[in-house]
Amino acid sequence: MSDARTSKTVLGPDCRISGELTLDNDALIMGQFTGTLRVTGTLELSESSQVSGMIIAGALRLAGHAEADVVVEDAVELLPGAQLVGQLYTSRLNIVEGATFQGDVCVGPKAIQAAKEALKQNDEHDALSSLDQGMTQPASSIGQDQDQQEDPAPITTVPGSVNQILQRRRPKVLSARNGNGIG
Amino acid sequence: MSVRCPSCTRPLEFKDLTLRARMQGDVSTMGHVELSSPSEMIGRLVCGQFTNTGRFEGQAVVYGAIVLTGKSLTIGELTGKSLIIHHGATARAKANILPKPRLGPNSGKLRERPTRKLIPRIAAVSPKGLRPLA
Repeated sequence: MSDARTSKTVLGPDCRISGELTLDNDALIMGQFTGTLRVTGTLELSESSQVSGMIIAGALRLAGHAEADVVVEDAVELLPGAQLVGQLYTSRLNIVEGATFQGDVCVGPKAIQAAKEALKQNDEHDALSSLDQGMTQPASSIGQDQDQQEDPAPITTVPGSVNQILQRRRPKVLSARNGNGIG
Repeated sequence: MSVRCPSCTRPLEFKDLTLRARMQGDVSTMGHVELSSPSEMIGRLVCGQFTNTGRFEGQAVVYGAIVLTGKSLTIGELTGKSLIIHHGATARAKANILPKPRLGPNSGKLRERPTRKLIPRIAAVSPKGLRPLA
């Protein structure tokens, strides 16, 4: 019987995966992956690896190419030759000389919390964009949309705060005009 | 000994600095800049190596390594050759870490902030474009 702590999932250089992949132990990826990658242990991306999408892992050692938003609980290490483009949320970071990183860094004790909030906002944004495009909606959001349809927001061409000021001033302006006309 | 930049022939300074107080402004040197624990810097920084143990807010262009130690706070934009953020450090920054940073000959020279808009002078006027006043 294999021990989950010592075993490692290996995806060879010939494999190409797109979609969502969740691994409950350490992983070594040498091929191409597109989508959401969740690894509870240490994720190693070899020199031949190419990942795009989203990476959520316990720890990350990157030597390949990645164009992804990365959320790592423990530590991120970018080895020489590694290329990472995207947002990075972690508590420890080591980018050695020879590695390339371009993007936003959010490092600290509250980085994971910030990542969760960012992900939530992204999900909401995606849901809104899918509604705009007339795509199918998730079941959880149907009820909320019905509520919104029952109580539609007033259509305004100016920001709400400006509109309120204009509405407040309107009676004063009208009364002043009437006063001038009479006088 | 004076050393000049091979590309722009500007004299280079290699002074190492340790900041122990609060300062606001720009710093430019090719040496090692260290922000010690209670110190705080707000501004632009150009240096050869940067170690932050205090609080830094602004833009840092570093020709070598950037090290952010535990309990340090960094906000802004970081450009450098390598970046190490220790456990406990807080950083919210746009990072640009490249083996050969894309830095021009004037990157090390801090540009002056524009104080007023310059009115463009008329170099030449064609007589066809002129009209008599009404």
